[in-house]
Formats: sequence, C-alpha cells, structure tokens
Amino acid sequence: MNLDKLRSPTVDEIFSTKYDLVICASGYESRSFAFAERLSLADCPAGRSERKIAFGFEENADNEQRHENDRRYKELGYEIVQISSGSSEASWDKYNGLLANGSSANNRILVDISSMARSWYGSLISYIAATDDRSSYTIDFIYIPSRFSEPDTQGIPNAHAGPVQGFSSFGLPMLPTALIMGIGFDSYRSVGLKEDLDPNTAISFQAGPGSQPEFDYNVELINEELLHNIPNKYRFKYPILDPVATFNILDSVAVGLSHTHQVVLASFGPKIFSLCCFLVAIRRPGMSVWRVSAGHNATPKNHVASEIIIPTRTEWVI
Amino acid sequence: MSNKTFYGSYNARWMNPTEVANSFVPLPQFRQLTHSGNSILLGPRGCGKTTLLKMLTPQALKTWHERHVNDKNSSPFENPDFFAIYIPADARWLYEIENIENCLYFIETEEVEVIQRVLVAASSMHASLSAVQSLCRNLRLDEKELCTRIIKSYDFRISGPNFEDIIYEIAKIPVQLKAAINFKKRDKVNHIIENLSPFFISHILEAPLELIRVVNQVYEDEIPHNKWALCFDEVEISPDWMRQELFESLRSLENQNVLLKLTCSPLLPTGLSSAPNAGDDFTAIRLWHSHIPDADDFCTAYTSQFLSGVSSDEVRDTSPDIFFLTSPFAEDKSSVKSKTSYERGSHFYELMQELAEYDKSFRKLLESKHFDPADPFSESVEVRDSFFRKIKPLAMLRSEFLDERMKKKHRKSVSLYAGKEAIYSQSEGNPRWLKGILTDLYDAWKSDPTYNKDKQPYIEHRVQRVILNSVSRRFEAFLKSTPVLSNTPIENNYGESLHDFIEILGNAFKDRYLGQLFTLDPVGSIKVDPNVSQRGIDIIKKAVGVGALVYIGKSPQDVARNIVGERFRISFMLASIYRLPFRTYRETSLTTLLDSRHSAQTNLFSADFEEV
Repeated sequence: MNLDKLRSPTVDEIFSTKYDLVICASGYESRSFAFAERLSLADCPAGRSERKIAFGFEENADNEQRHENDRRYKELGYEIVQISSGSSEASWDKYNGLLANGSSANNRILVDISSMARSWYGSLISYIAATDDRSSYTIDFIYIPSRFSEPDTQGIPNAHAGPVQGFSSFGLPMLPTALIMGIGFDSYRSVGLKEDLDPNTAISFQAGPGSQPEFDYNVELINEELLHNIPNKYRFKYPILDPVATFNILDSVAVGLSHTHQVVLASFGPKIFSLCCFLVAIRRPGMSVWRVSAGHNATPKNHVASEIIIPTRTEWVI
Repeated sequence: MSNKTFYGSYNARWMNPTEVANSFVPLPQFRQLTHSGNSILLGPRGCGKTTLLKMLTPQALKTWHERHVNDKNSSPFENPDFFAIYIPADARWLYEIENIENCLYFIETEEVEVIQRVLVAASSMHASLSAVQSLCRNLRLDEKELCTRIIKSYDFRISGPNFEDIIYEIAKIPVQLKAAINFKKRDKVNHIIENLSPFFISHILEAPLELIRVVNQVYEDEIPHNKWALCFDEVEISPDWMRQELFESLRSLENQNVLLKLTCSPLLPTGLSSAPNAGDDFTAIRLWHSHIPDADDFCTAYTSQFLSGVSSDEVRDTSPDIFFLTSPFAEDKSSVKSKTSYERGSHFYELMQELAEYDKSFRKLLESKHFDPADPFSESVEVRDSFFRKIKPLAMLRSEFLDERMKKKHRKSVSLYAGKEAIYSQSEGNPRWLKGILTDLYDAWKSDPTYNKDKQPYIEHRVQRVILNSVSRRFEAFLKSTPVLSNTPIENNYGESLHDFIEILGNAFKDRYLGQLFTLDPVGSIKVDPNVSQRGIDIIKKAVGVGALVYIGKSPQDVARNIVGERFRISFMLASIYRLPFRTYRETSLTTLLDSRHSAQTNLFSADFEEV
C-alpha cells in the first residue's frame, strides 16, 4: 500500500467515526488512558467501535498506575495484549492477526500513540505499507501531549541503538550520512546516536509554534551542548499542533538532503514528530528511521495528559 | 561553527581521495602501510585509519604528488606497488545489516547471513567496479571486452557492456532487498537471491577477487601493476562472519598478488579458528600513542599545516609556539630551559616553596632529597633532570587543586590545561580530535583577536583553558551517551555505564594525585587482572574503541589481543575533568583499584606510600 493522503481532521470528525479497530496503549502514564476515557465520556461512535485493543507494556507491568489503566481499559471493553516496548515483531504479528483476514473494503483504524512505544506504531505503518490485500486503509493517529513536568536531567545510559524494524534503508555506504533528529528531553539519546553514526550533517527538529513555553525552554537547556554544535541553518522548528505542516517540512528537508546523503531520521522528542518520521520514510525509499532507548535502564515517569488532542488522518491505497 | 559530533565532521570517511590528500600530514605509519604485505591498522575512532586507507588509492597519491612536486625534501613515503581499492563502510550500514536478524526474526540465522553476504558483496563490488572504471579511463583502456567478461562472470542480465550499467545493476540489489526485508517478504528475498551469481553469497573476498582475475586476464600487460590491495574499513563493527573471514584470509589468501589492508579497533580480535600472526601474516600498525612524546612530531607538523591554511594572514605567518604559547605542564627538553625553569625566583621555584608550606608530604619528600623546602634549588643539571622534572607535574597539580587545608579546590576552569603541549596531549595525537580542538581555538581567536607585545597573534591561556575544558566535557557527554552492548548484567563494581566506569577510574587516580601523600610515582594506569568479570571486559573494550582508555604496550608498536594482562590509562582528553597530569604513571591491578576506592588515602602503609 502507498500513503495517498495526509490531513488533519477535526476532533469531532474522529469522535463521530465508527472504526473497525481502535488501538491504544496501557502503560505507567495516566496519559495512557486519557483518550480512551474521553471517547467513553463522549459516548460517541468512535468509542463504540467494533474492536478495541490496548497494547500493554511488558516492562513495569507491576506499576500501580499501570494496573489502574488496565482495569479501566477492561471496563470499557478493551482487550489487553502484552508486548515488549522494543518488540516490533510482536506488534507486527498482532496486526497480522487482527487485519489479515478482514474484509477487502476500506478499513478504518484509530490509533492513540500518546503513550505508545514508537516501534509499535512504526510497525503498524510498515505493516500497512507491506500489505496488498485491501483496496484501502484509513488510519487516524491521535496524539495527546503531556502537561509539562520537570525533566529528569540525570540521563539514563543508552542500552539500544539501531534502525526501527521495517525502516532500514540498506543504502550502500557510498554517500555520507545526514542525521535528522527530533529534539526532546532525552539529550543523551540524541548525542549518543549522533556520536554512534558519526554523520556528515546533523539537522535538528524542535517543537515550535504551539509548544508549551516551559517545554521549549527546558528542551533548549537540556540540549544546549547538542544544539551548540548545529548551525542555525540546520535547526528547524515544527508546529506541533499541525502534523501535516510538520510532515511537509520534514519531507522537504529530507528529500533535499537525499540527493547527496544517506538520510537517517531519528524519532526523538514528541511522538507526533516520530509519526512524521515514519510517514516520510515509508514514502521515500532510501531513508531509514532509527531509535535509541534506555531499555531496562529506563525509570517510569507518570506523564499527565494535557487538554489538547492532535489528530492525523492517513489514507492508504494499493 | 561547524556541524560536528565529537569532531565527527572531520571524518575522512566523507571526503573523496583528493580532499583527503590535500589535507594529509604524513605519518610514519603510512610508510609501513605502503609496504607490499597485509596490514591491519589499529586505533580508536578519529585516529586516522580511514585517511591512511584512502591515501593508498591512486587518486589520492596522484593528488599528493602533484601538490608536493616542488618539495625539495624527498617524499616521506614511496608509492605502493599495488593498486588499492577502498571498500567503504559506516556505522549506519553495518548496524542495518546486523538488524536484518531482528527484522526477519522468523528465519534461520544461516539465511540471515546469506542476505548479509549479498549486501556486503554488493558494496564491495560497487567500490571495486568504480575503482576499476577509474583505472581503465586513466589508462584509456578499451572497456568493452572487460565489461563483457564481467557480465558473463557474474551472470548479470544486461545487454550493454559498460561500467555504468553494471554498477547500476549492482546498486539495484539493496533497493530490491530493502522492500522485501522491511516488509518481511521471505519469498521475495529468496527470489532475489536465487537470481544472483553465486559470487554474491560466497566468501567475502570471492566477488572482488573474481573481478581482479578478469581484469588481469583482459589487460594482462597493459596495467602497470600486478598487485592489488583490498582495503576494508570499519572491520571491528562488521558482522562476525565477515570479520572472521577477513582476518583468516590474512593467513590463507591464495592469490599472492592480492593484499588485504584492514582497519580495526585498538584490540585485535580473539577467537579466530586460525589466528593470523603479526609479523608472519600481517603487519599490525598502531595509530595511537601510549606516551605523549610519541605524538609530538605529528602534532607539530599537523598544527603547523593547520595554521598555514587559516583565513587570517597574521595567524598564517605565526607558529604553534607563538600562537598557542607554552603549557605550564611542558617538559623542559633542553638543559638551558631546564636551568631557567628551576632557577631561584622562577615560577616553579616559588610554587615549590609555597606548596611545601602546607603540603607536609611534599615537604618531607624535599627534605628526604636533601633540599631545603624554603629554598628548593640545585645547581646540578642532573638533579633537575632526574628530580625536579619528575615532580613538576604532580607539584603543579597539587598547587592548583589543593588549598592550605589540603582540601580539594573546586574550579570550573583550570589554568594548567592550556598551551601548546596541553593541546597536543589532550588530543592524544588523534588527528580528528586535534583538528577539532585547533578549529575551536582558532574560531575563538577570530571572534576576539589578541596580540602579544610584538604584535603577533596568540590565544590567551584563559581562553584556551575554557575551550579545552569544554572539549573535555563534550567528550564526557559522548561517553555518557555511548551504550555498552553487553549480554552480561550490570555490576556495581564497574558502574552502570561506560561513563560510570571511567568516572570510577578517573576519581581513583585523582585521589592518588591529590591525596594526603605526595608520591614520585603514583598509580596512574590499570592492569586488567584475571578477576575482572566479563562485564568489566566488555566495558573496557568499548572504552578502548572510543578512545576513553588508551592501551599501553611494552613498545610503541605493541598491540593487544587479549584484554586480561594488558595495561591501560585514561585518555588525556579527560585530563582536566579528573585532574590528570599528562604523564603515564605506574600500574595497579584493576580489581585492587576498584576494591580500594572506598578507603581513604591516609593509610601510611598503603601501597602508594613512597618510602623516603
């Protein structure tokens, strides 16, 4: 399948759609359940969708907030499926089980990525792109930013660095690497990946218009060293509330670099940026998407949902 | 301001051979590399391995000689008698190949390896064909027959016998495989591979060797060389099977007219079924310096070349000594300088007097050598060379970092770590680091130029120390973010991360340099004893690979195969953070050092106490 259209529907459009499948995530954040709760409270078609799944993180499964989230999901009729955060294969297999034998008509899927592991929604995008047994798919992604909380400045050692499954480029090493990085609170991740890949060119993408000022300030502070070494002309800001514009900016920069570089997209920072990384890479052969994680070193932090809901609609055709 | 990782943009990997040659500063090791034999270039990141490999290529050599055609001095190296083919690799490419196993998790390991072989063969063939194409065009050789033979040898399904079509055909392979792998289409992967020549799934050298065989056959007497060198880069992060085949080929390559030039991290690989021997099967060429004076000549030449290429006319006309000044830590190489440095009234004389007033152990040391602490002076050059020079760096450290109560002072930016010698030492003679530091310093000077009383440009020490400290911090940040990919569980003894481990060592050494006891030869390096666990070994390997730890052999060309039993010190890139002098001091076992780090260094009977 190919990504045919990308747009930003209204929240009302989302709520008023009945989906064939709703996928959320259940983790240690209270934000995990926020969208499902809003659907339920709205008593809307989306909340009454056919099938509802919540991917539960295998990690930190004993966390108190996690137990609470699981309980509430079950109350609303969600099936909890345990998957490791680093496991694209488990999520791929799950999508295959959910989607492979459905009808050949348009499938409408709603995915809340707010607390989801990036590898999970990355593998969904990769799965959809790989499939050819449908005439079309419409996948709506929802992202709810968290309310600002003081970032953890200690920094946790990186445990894993590599391409997200399904998003390797395998481009021969004839061209220099250009690394396009989202910037967030995980400066260690960014610095670590940049040092590991040793790119010829590094570009930063930072949430701009629409971002909470406290986030901006702290992101600049935490990433001071990283940003100091990136010239202004290679530093971009994206409108976090406008995924389509973000996609277009990212796509434009990536395509421009791809003529002379092997482009690597690093999905750090807000998940809306990593969603755009996956969508750009799936459209553009020769680009890869990488992730860095702390793995088991990570310590749980409870992010609380803000009031904002950012929808992104993707339409896929054969 | 440059767009740099820890000085990553000064990476020869992205420079074409002409650019490499234009900035090349010859190392003695390059002469070794040009010899007709297998070689392994060993060193941490940034030490110049890729530069030296690329310099072997015809285009780089041609550019170099054209640039230096008018040099009166004879060339520092002879042209090799082989045609070198540089086969590139980078971390992105190699990590993606390794990750095929995760992507196609449902297939056997052997099948994963086949796919990896195809991709590696495509890469080496792409590079080899491009090199041969250049050769043919430079010598104006008829390409048609060669291309026809290549197409036949490799079963390519293309009609037009020309290099462009063949190279394009090879470039298609990873593109086709990408979709099949990423979308987990096992049948499609198999279909692609089944339609390729067996050369693409054979031994790593089969594909390029076949090309060389065909070229030799077609152009028998028309090419000026009968030897070839296949230059493989980044071998240390290559898949295991690739590393194994390359290293084993050093011993077993049947074609004596084909040489292998490989690059590797500072530690030779272990566990090979038929380990090649240095001396017999290959020359191990070491590209790092255990002791700072070993890097002096290179650093001086490199810095002079750097200054001669900057934009400012005034700086171009200056020298490293004038522009960067001398470091307080500088060794006094001449007896004249030695005499003045330790004269009554000299800076160091006064430092010793002041230190002796509150540092009892230093005072006691002077007295044990029959010096009056109030007048630490000797007419004897021999005494100055044997004693004052030895104590100078440690005395300076203690003077800088201990107060009158013998407590450690906290300083954000320290005055010792500045000057030409500090720059060279901190760079470890690593070309990438040195270039980055010099660029940062020059940029700082440009933004606020300063001149000495003779109107010559120079950079003040206070500016240098800020920058050098900032460079150290950036390296530290790099270490903090570098993962140690180990299957072994974390052990508190070695810290949770690479940075933790280096910090443990650094603080342990600092405690010895700045402890209650002034010793002439404190512990300043570690020997890896057999009690070190696998986790510790994994961390040390990583630390050596990124340059945080430096291997110290018995001779300047010693290389290590095993970690256990070997000696290492912390990189001087971290000197200002852990208050390290630019010297290599004696070793202790790593386990002993780790075990003792919790006990205070006030024990008069500790192993570090110097008997006076």
